[in-house]
Amino acid sequence: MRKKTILLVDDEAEILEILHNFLHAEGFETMQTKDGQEGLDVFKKGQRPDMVILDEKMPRMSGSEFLRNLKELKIDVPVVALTGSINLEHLNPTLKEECEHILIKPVRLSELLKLINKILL
Amino acid sequence: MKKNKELASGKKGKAAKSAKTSSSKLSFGAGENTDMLLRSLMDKEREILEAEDALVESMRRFRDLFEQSPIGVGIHDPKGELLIVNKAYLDIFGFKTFGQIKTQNLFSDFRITAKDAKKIRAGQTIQFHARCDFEAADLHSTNENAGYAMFTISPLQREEDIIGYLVQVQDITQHKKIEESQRLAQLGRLISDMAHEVNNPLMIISGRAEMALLGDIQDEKIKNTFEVILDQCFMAKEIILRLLKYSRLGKVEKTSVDVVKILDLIVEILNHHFKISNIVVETDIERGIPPAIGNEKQLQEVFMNVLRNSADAMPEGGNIKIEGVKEKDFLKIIVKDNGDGMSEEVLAKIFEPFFTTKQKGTGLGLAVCHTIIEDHGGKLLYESKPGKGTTATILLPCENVLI
Repeated sequence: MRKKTILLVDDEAEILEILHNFLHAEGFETMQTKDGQEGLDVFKKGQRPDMVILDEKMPRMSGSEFLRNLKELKIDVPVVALTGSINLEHLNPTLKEECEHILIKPVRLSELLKLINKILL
Repeated sequence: MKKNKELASGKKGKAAKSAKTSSSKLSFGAGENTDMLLRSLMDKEREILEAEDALVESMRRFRDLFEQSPIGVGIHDPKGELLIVNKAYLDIFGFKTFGQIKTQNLFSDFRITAKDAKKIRAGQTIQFHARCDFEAADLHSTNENAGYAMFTISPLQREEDIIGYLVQVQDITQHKKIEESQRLAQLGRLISDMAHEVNNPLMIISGRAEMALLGDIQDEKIKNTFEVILDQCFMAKEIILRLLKYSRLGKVEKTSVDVVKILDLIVEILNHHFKISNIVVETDIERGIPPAIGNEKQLQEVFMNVLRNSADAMPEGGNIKIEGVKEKDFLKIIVKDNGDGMSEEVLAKIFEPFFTTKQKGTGLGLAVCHTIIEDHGGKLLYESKPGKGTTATILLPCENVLI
């Protein structure tokens, strides 16, 4: 069976590394991008990861902007937002509408894995 | 006054005086002069009456200003003895007649500092806020439910002499409440911003600890260390979330809520926990008690916290009795346990944010509950005796009661 690919979008290199190491060990392929623009470029190049783990607050392009662009390109992909913001009321409405799940950092990697499996399997 | 004197002397020197009163007219004879004088007298009389009316009106205006001012005003003599107060002053302190407060002395009853007393005696105005229990007419209350009053004390001066002191008092409880909610909103923003910055490092720490635990660690001590690190990261997250909740209290919508249903739900959620902890819950709620006005989620949080605290106080198991009755315009929910109980020192601090006796407590649970219930126009009261158990009483306004 083909390994599922998860696109990671987070401006924090340490977080990208942890997510990559963890997901890799769990049998997933990952693609690491450091903001919404880089994440979007992946799709623009025609690549199609199976799901996205997305930070909200990032330089150049935020998570919400990334989602709006994805919608414009008519790309449908499951997205889990992983944000440091605890004020869910103030989160960008796009993020709330377009995301399968919004998780607040820190999350247990084991919990994240459960969610990913639920979405992808 | 000058004009009156002129009138009085008018009879003696008619011509000369009339020429003065009406210099534009020529004098033709005695008859005309009398006419003119009469007219002049009538004019003067009207002027006097008008002046009298104006004086009465002015007095009325000042009396209305004094009596109907929403600001409480009291006038003290130079020794500080109370001379007169207006209606607002009596109302603010809940008195009906002046007789009830006439012994109030400015220098002994207002707890003015020696420094402030010196200032007002030197002709300066002082202003201070005081926690004030209006119902008990206690100007400096330690009761935490007391309101707030703002006092402005200024000397009344005539030329160089101080002839008394003017005390103005305003009930600023509402104002303080608004200030408090603004402060909390500000705190909320600060917490949100801070959380965003802190949660990323927390994710990195917890992520690394969890990755380490996934590896093959033989040493139990090291394993335990990572587990503690992981746990504490989530504890930190919990504290931040609760702090945000604390700062957001009061900004929620309130509707008619079925408190019995909320209690049932929370007992059901905690049922498993109660079973394994050997705790028996007995519920005795009066039939047909009316709904309360409140926010369902917030009230769930309150009952969850109160019941959890009861359970935590009974590590060896025990009984929790939940009673519910309608008492006047309130729903009274009593949660009684026969657990460890609390000392007076602990009891005095349970609503303080960050105060906790639990090893893994955030110290925000009851602080949040207390604020929620107060915000609902209710009361949360705790009674406890070490070794005997604790009773929590929650009073919530019923649906038909205006908060």
